Parts: sequence; structure tokens; C-alpha cells
Amino acid sequence: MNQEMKDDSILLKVNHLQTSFFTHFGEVKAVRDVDLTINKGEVVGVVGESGSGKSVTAMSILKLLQHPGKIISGNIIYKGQDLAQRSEKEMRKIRGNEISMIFQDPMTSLNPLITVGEQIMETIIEHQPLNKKQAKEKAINLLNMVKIPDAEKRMKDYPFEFSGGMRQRVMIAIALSCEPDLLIADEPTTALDVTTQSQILKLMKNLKGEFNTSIMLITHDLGVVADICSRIVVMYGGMIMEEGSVEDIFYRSKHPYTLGLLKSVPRPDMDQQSRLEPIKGTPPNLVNPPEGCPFAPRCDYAMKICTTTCPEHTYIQEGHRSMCWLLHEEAPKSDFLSEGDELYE
Amino acid sequence: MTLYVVKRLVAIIITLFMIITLTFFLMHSIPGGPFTGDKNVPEAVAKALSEKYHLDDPLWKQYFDYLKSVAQFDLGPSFKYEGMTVNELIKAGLPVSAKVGLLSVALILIVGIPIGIFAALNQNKWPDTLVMLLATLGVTIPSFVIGTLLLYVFSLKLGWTPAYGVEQWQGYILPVLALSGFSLSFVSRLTRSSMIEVFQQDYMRTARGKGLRPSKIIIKHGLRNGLIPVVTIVGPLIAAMLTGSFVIEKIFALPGIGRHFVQSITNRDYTTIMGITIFYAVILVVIVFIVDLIYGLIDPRIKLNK
Ligand SMILES: Nc1ncnc2c1ncn2[C@@H]1O[C@H](COP(=O)(O)OP(=O)(O)OP(=O)(O)O)[C@@H](O)[C@H]1O
Ligand code: SF4
Ligand SMILES: [Mg+2]
Repeated sequence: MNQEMKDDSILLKVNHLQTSFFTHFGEVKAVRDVDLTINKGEVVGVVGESGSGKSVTAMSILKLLQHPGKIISGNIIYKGQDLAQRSEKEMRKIRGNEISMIFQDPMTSLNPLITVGEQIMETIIEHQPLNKKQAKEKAINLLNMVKIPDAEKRMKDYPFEFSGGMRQRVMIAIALSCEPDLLIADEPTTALDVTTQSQILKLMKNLKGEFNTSIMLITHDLGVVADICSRIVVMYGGMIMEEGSVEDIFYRSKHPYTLGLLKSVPRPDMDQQSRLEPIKGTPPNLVNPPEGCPFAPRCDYAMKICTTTCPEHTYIQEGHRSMCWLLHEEAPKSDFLSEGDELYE
Repeated sequence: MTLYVVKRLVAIIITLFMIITLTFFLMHSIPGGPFTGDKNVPEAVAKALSEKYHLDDPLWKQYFDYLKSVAQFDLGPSFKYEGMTVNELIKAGLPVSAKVGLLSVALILIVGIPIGIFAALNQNKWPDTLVMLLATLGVTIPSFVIGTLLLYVFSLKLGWTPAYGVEQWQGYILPVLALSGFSLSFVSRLTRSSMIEVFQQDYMRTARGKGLRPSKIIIKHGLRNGLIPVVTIVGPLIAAMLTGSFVIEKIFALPGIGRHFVQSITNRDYTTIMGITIFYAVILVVIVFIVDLIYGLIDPRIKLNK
């Protein structure tokens, strides 16, 4: 047993996770050697462009992937035990109970033919020694907690009678119904309008305070992560490019991809004049991913070695790591290393 | 809800009225009549018979007289089966026809749906491929071919089942198989594709993410959604089975209603044609109505008050 496993502040530790989809076109290497740690009570943001492997990482943790998706290798150490070795039956006791997940699209994530109340209650009954009546009471409390007005009456309503924001509240109620230790929220606000987004985030923030649940928050909205996360993981092409505290990533980034990302999306601390620059090019094809750094074809700083060999992670300081050849001691010094700081000001 | 039912009942009566009218005039537009061109009937007798059955009246008068008697549930006397009314003909054939029909429907639902689920769960593995191959054959081969084949193999060659009649219960096996073959295949294929689609829905992922048992996920979350398309085609399927039953009853020489129907058309037995058509039309519209009610129960998004 290594030292990290004994460390009781760690809730989840993913080591060298590799997940692929075996399609007709070949093996889609959606997640390539991802390491990820989530501490107790911590909110970790996972950002990256579409297709960078965020959802697949999340689904791998809960082993929810279906054919043709498959975890190739890696450990998913949750509370000291490796979920990768757990049977489907054992996973069922964890899903929705200890680790629960909120999905991207609230419009389609609830079963259209079953009342909202029943959809909350069934999770409670599955995992807790409560009878129907007690489960119902609990479900009503949960609906109140996620601020759905008229909770008792709305239990009998069907999902189509709820707005998008209200459905996402219901999803949150379901996810929290068994007081999970870890909540994986996969773009919980992406499908919602701006006002509803901020309401849902506020709700999650409050609940986080109340339950002390750890949260893995997947998003491509940097504004969201800045607001509620303490640590950020930046993913690209199925790999982690950079990881650090919110300040590390926003103000001291040491990775060209992160910098590109920061310049391409509006941020709350940006003034109106600054122009957004989208990252040129398209994400890599994951069927036959290029050798070397996945970002190389789009990177302004790419060097010869970038296209042939994949860099390792370099620690800039404790908790801040970046996977880039520019950080190698033999790399030519470039203005890049200070660019992240310039964005600060 | 009550308003909906009343509205639907009115619509049913209008539909039936239109079916009666169309059939009546179409039938009379076919050349020939029940007592013409028949060698055995001398002209004088034919004339007398025509008079007796008011076939010499103007068509519109015959039409209104007929409507009047139908409204009183009287389908009139049969022209060809002497001394029998059409009501009696139907009553005599009903037990056999109903048994074959209901057994077929039961087979379709009790076997067809589970086969579809089973195939969906084993998607693209060999059990699925095999079952779907059979089902594809089933929807492409017409029921009279299936019927004749079954009859040839199991009755004539193997002698396992009686070749005609339903004096023994074994007599029902082949007709039911022949009659349900198409619909059974159709329902299992539809269930399969519908379930496969449902399995990919986000709410199914949610159900798995909640840690529910597979049985709960498949039946409670999957099946209800997956059956919606199946319920919608039950109406047309019943229609296909009603028409199929004419042929099947003929092939297996079953004393049902369908057999009379085929004969009555060649005989221009007007009242029998009309009577059986109306009878089947009533069954069909009532079933479609019931299916719609069930549909509304399964899917809360359908509100039965429009
Ligand atoms: N069922 C599947 N079959 C084949 N490939 C898949 C499947 N699901 C995901 N992938 C591939 O895995 C890669 C990572 O997808 P993933 O859904 O994790 O991206 P993401 O970062 O969550 O993006 P988004 O922001 O769009 O949700 C993509 O290239 C995608 O094409
Ligand atoms: S390793 Fe090379 S290509 Fe990759 S981000 Fe760094 S400089 Fe760019
Ligand atoms: Mg995603």
C-alpha cells in the first residue's frame, strides 16, 4: 500500500486511467493516462474543449460506460478500494449512494413516463432502509431543499411539466438523496440559460457547504470554475494538460493550451474591450492520436520534439503541474513562461 | 376524460356509417347479383327471390332500409344460406374465429415482446442475429404461404397435427402460428429496435447512475418507454390479423366467420358481405379506441381531453 492510500484526506484517486471505445473506425482513445485526485470536501473543476474526454473520465469513475467503451487500465481508488476491480453488483451500491452524478442535459435525463417524486424515491428506497412513506417524506424535503415551490404537490408531476432549470434541481435532489461523498456534475448548467445557470450554481454552492460533499465539476465555462472550485484540471485530447489551484491556472498558467483556453472564453475579470481569440485548428482525432504532445498541431510554441515525444508532467510548485516541453530545463527560454503572468495585471 | 370518450364514440359511429355506406355501394357496383348467372336457379325463381329480398327496389331505398335494420342490430337474412340470418352465421362462427384471434394476439404479445427485449439485450450477438433473421423472414412471407407450408410439413408429412377442423385442440396450433407469424415477427422487431433506442437514452444512464438493479432499469425505465411504439401499431396489426383470418380459416377449413366472408363475396351474398364487414369494422374501431385509452395511460404527455 502506498502512502497516498493511507492519506485520509483523499477521497478519490485515479491513477493512469485509460479508456477507449472500440468502434468500426478503430480504437478511440478517449482517456489516455489520466491521474486525478479529489480530496474530501473539495470542489475540483475539470475543463477542456468538447471531446477532450471529460465525460468519459467521469463515466469511467462510476464504471457507467457501455459497449463499445471499456476501461483499459488504471486504478480508481475510492476510500482505499479500487473501483476498477469491483463487480457490477458492488458498483450498484456505490452509484447514487456514495458517488452520484448529475448529467449535462436535464431535459432528457429524467424518465418522461415516471413522476418526479417516484424518480427521487426509488433512489432512496434502493439504498436506504426506509419504507415508501419515509422515502416520500425525504423526497419532499429534498425538493424543498433544492427550492422547488409546492414540493409536495409537484411530487406527482411528470418531468415534462417542469422547466429545464427545475428539472436540473430535481436531478440535484436525486443526486443528493443519499448524501453522497462525491458528486460528479457533468456540465450541470450548460443546457440552461444564464440566469438559471447562476441560480443552479448558487444552489450547488450552498448544498456543498451544507453536506460537505466533494464535487467534481465538469464544465467548459471558466467563469463557473473560478467561482466555485478550489482546484482546476485542464484536459485536452484525453490527457491532463495542466492542474493547479484556481490562481495557478488563471494567473500563472504554464501551459500553451490553458493560455489559449483563457483567451478564448470570456471571464468575469476581463474588461469589455479585450478581444476573444479562439484557439486555431481542431481537436485531435483520437482514433490514431498523433505521437507526441496532443496539442502540437495547434500550438504556437511547438518545437520539433513536441511532435515526436509526449512530454511528462513538470511540477512548477506543489499542486501545480503542467505537461509541456517548454518547462523542460533544456528548452529554449521563451516569452511564454511569463505570458500567464501577464494575463494577470 | 368523459368528454373525450363521448367524442370518440361519436367519431366511431360516423366511421362505421361511412364504412357501411362505402361497402354498400361498392358491393352493388360489382357486376352480377346473388341470383344471376347461377346455373341452378331458373330465371323465374331468381326473379321471385329478388323480389322477396327487395333487390328490385331502387338502390337508395335498399340502402335506407338496410341502415334502418342495422341500427336495430339486425343484419338481415343470408341470401345463400337458406333459413339463416347473418346474425346467426356470425354467432355460429364466432367461437372458433375468436379463439384463433385471441390466441394469436396472446402469442404475439407474450412471445413477441420478450423476444424483442431479449434480442435488444443481446444486440448484435448471435442470439440476436438468429432471432432477427427469423423475424425478417416472418415479415416477408405472406401468411397464406406460411399456412400452406405449415400444413404441408406438420399435417401431411409429419402428421403431428390435424389437417383441418378444430375438433381436437391441436387443430388450433397451425392456424394460430400462421395467423400470428407476421405480427409476431413485426412486434419482436419493433420491440427490439425500440428498446435499443431506449437503452441509449439519457434517462437510462441516469437510472444506471442511481445504482438501480438491472431488472428495475430494464422493466421500469426501459420497457414502458420501449413499448410506446408497439402500442401504436397494435391497431393496424389487429386489422392485418382480421383480414389474414379470412385466408387462414379457408386454408385450414376452420368453421369460423372468415370462411363465410370469402364465399359470400364470390356468391354476391350481399347481406353476408355487409354483415361481416360491419362486424369486423366494429371490432377494429373498438380495439383502436381501447388502444388509444391505454396509450394515454402509459404516456402522461398524452392528455385525453383534446
Ligand atoms: N460511445 C462512444 N463511442 C465512440 N466514441 C466516443 C463515445 N463516447 C465518447 N466518445 C469519444 O470520446 C472522446 C471524449 O468524449 P467526451 O464525451 O468525454 O468529451 P467531453 O470532454 O465530455 O466533451 P463535451 O464537452 O462535448 O461533453 C470524444 O472524442 C468522443 O468522440
Ligand atoms: S509540449 Fe510542445 S506542443 Fe505541447 S503544449 Fe508544450 S510547446 Fe506546445
Ligand atoms: Mg461531456
